[in-house]
Amino acid sequence: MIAAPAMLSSVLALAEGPLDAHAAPELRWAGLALLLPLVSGVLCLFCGWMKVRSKLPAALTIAALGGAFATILRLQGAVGETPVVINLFDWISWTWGDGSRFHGFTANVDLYIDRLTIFWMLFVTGLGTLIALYASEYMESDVGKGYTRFFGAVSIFLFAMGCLVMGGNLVMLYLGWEGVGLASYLLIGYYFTKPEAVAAAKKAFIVNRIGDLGLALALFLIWQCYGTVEYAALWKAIEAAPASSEWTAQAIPWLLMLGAFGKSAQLPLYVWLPDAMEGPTPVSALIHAATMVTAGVYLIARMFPLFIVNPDALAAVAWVGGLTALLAATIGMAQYDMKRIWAYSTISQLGYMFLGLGVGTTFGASYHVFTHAFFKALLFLTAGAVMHGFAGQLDIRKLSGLLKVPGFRLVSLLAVLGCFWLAAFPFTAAFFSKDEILVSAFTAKDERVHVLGWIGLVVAALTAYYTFRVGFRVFFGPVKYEPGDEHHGHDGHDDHAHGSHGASAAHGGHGHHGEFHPHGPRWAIRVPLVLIAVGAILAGWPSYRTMLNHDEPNWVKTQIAQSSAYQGVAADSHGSHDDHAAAATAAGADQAHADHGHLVLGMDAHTAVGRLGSLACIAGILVSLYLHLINRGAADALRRTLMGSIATRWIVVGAERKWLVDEFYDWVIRLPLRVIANILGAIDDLLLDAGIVNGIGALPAAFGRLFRPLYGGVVQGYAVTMAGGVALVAAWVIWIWLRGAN
Amino acid sequence: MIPPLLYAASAICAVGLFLLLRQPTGKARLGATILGLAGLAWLLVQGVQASGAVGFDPQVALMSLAVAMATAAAVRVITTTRPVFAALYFVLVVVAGAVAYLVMGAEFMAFSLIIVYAGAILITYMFVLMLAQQAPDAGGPSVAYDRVAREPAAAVLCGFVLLAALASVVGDVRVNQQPAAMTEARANAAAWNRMRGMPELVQERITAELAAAGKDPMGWSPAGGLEVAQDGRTAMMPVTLADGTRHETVLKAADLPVNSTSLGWELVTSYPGSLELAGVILLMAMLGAVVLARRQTDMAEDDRRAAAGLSRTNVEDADLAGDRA
Amino acid sequence: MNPIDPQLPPGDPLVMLGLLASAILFAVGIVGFLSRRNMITMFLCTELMFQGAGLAMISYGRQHMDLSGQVFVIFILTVAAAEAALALGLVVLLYRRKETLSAEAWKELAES
Repeated sequence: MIAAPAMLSSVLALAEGPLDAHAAPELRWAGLALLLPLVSGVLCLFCGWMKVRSKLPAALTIAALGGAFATILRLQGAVGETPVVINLFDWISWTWGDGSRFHGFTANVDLYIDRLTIFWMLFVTGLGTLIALYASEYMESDVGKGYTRFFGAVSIFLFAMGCLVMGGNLVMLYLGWEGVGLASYLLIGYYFTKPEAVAAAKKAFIVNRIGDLGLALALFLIWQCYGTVEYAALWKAIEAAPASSEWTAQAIPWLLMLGAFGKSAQLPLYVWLPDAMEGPTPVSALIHAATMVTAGVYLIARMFPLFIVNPDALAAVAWVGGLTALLAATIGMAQYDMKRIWAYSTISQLGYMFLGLGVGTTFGASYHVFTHAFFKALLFLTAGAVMHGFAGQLDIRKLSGLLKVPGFRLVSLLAVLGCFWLAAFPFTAAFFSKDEILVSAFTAKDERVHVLGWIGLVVAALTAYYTFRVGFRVFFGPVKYEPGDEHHGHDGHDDHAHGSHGASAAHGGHGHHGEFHPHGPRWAIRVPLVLIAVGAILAGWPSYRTMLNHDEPNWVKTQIAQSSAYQGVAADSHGSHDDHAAAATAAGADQAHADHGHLVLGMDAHTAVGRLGSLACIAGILVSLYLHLINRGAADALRRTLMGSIATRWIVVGAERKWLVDEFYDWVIRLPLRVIANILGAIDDLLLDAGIVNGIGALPAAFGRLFRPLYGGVVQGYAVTMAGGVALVAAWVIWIWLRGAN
Repeated sequence: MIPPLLYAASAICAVGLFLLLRQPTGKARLGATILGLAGLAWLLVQGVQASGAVGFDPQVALMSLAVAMATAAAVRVITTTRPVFAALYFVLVVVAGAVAYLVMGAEFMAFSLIIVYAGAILITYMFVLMLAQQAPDAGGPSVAYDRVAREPAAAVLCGFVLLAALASVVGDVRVNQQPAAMTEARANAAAWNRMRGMPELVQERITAELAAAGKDPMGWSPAGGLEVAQDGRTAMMPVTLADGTRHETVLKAADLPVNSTSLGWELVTSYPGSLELAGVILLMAMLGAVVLARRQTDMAEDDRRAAAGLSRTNVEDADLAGDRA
Repeated sequence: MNPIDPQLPPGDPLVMLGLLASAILFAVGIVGFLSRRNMITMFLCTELMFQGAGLAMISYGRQHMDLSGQVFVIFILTVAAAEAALALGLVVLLYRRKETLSAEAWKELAES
């Protein structure tokens, strides 16, 4: 069909190892996964131009995303164990000099499809379709206003995410990376008349710029060190020269890390994600919980061959992940806004994923991404449904007992289900994925990261606590609620058929709106919720199979093992029975460090982590149960007690005010920058503009003012000019003449 | 002339003139006058030195006096605030200029100058002053608007840059001049040539020469043309006397025609066209003066048509009517 | 611009003085024209400049011993007379318009 680039074909000629990709021109239809969202984005644009006032954009987007999901499903069957490269069309192909290794730059619009790609795209497109369906009802008060814009941006997001994940080279990844950033910006700032939303959108964009700078630099350095940015050729180049001591090669993982931390909201760049909750809830669910924020995990997993040769970088990833998990969990414990709590829990869970990457279990990290995507989307969407029904109310102090409110039973049940998953309750999917990460932390070769296992266990307890703090407060207990103040705002539905007419007796005193009736969601919200809940449950399926039958390898693990994410990764403790995984790794004798060598509390690491994790989870839930359901006054009393003593006061204040990180950045980064900007601005205004530019501009005027008295219309003024001119010309001519005469 | 000194003298004159233009009073005025005169004297002394002449020459003294008088009067012309005084001082300038003309041997032009300028032009000025004179207001003997010079600094600067430039040419006149003998020879040849066109004058001069030489002044006849000597100072003309003898009559420079005769001859022989043009210019000036001085009426064309009993053209009104329709 | 070579034959001091006087008269005439406001005085100043020009003609005529210089003075007188007639006619006209002789009463050349 289309000839593969020359470099690639030379690589393919040598293809032997598990990572050698082969060209698959017959699979060009896979490009539909990118084309369909793009087309729907363009059509949404067209709808906006035509001022369409119906739900047509939603239908277009859902259809396109569904089509993309179907394409990925079919691709899942069509691609075998070896990666394939599908050339869609040629794009950039420059050569200079003799065209040898470092004398060319090729970046075509290729798809690099391996099991990691498919695994990622499966949940991206699947969740994208379901959340778009959810949003079609959720956003319906904006039909004719921002509806088209919303779905246009969602389509663009899915297109960009597809580029990011499926792209065959780092240039496409970068394009997608920036594209999802753009979509994120557009969707956070969706309510652009709200100053907070605008500020949040800008914050997200600017903080991401810092990370993107790292990614861009990494991209340049990769070309400089390996002479290619195409994955297939890059893996060969790395295999040929794995551990270069050049500082440029050493710097690559650190720069990639910076990019990943920016996109995935890790320390020190996590600050944008909580504010991003200003966007509509489906956006929070899709972009800021399930898919886009995992792009950083994908990046490190995809580029893992570059990390595995740099243990320091890996340790840094692990530590950043572990500390982010801890910090975000402590903040999440003290917040009152439901969406913000989930946002901090997202950061915390992303921290787990990076911890997993850092300790070498790309499988664990990817599996956690997978499970997290479902239960976190579920939690956000249920929060959105609550918000939708209670006029924007998200304060957990003002909502109680929703399980008993008619129309919200299903939502509440699913939310509580999500809480169990987030808390990693034993034998939920998240329990297995978290378990995988913590076991790897305890058994990692690098001793520096072992303590992170303990931190992870602490975070697990904290997570269980704050998750059920929300769960018990909002969904259990006596029925009591106050509606939010967005009755006529973006979530208000005055024209909406109210699902509930039995208002609670404990109705809040917002008399000026008349009787408040919380309205339950309809099918377009319920169906995706149920399907996502089913997905969350089924996400544990591979682990259940492994648990029941120890000879059967975990399906996710086999998927990851057949990708670049497993290059150089040690076969872990299950290497004996995960034959496929072992076969998929690059050959290496010494990686088989079995966890029986690492005893935790005298037990096998796997058993110990399972028990300790369960214990932490249940302990957290029990504390929460007491403080937030059985004796709600005790929580306030505890807060008062802590506030009463100077020694403990900082805990409460710090956690509630997010450890003052925003303020710290404000003082340490924004203030100096602003001072510098003001100085430069003053230099620009006073020296360049007023001094040089206006000064030069004022010169003719000043010159004119000097001679203005001569040109007041009186004839002598003009005569002065004439006589002066004659005198000067005469003097000049005579001088020349005399000089010549003598 | 040494340029820096020349410029310095010009600058001193300029400062003096500037101060006088500012209308100072009392001692300041005296000082400014002395300063200006000193600058002027220095300038003149430099000029005389530059000519290379030595010793006292009454002609030079007279000329210097005339020049000083002309300059002083000119300065008064421009510093006095009363136009009548200015006109009178201008008469003084003309008289002093006429003296300079006389000293330089232009007798006819000297008297013409006095007659035309002091006699005719200045009288016209006086008439106009009487026609257009404004009554002096309370502040002094002159009209308020001209009591103080306008922009004297710019004016003096312009004037004296020009003076310095012109004066440096003056200093180099001697460098570029032809040898005096050559100039004289050429000038005399031209003069004798002019004389050839005046046979009666030649006859008169020869008769006088013959009488002075003791020959018979009557009944001679010319025996050839006027032969000018090499140096041009004399010319010879052979004549046949009444007794039939031949005599070489020698005419000297003193026998040449006087200034007014030569000038008239030169004017009509060399510049007849220019002379005609000058007449036309004067005629046109007369006509122009008549047209300009006619009393203007303030009536527009249409009013005058109406006044003369003709119908109005109403061009403007018709246009307006068209617009309204 | 060099000191004059003493070997040169001496020049005529009368010519020098005449030329200097002409330059001075011309310059003073310009200064007066530029600095006086009264239109009649301004025209007197132009006459001063004519005087300077005439004197220069006479001086150069003497230097070259040529009568053309004096002939040109006749033309200068002619032009001066014509100019005086016209200029004074104009002055009278302008005076009738504004009842003043000040040149500053006429500012139509100003842009605003």
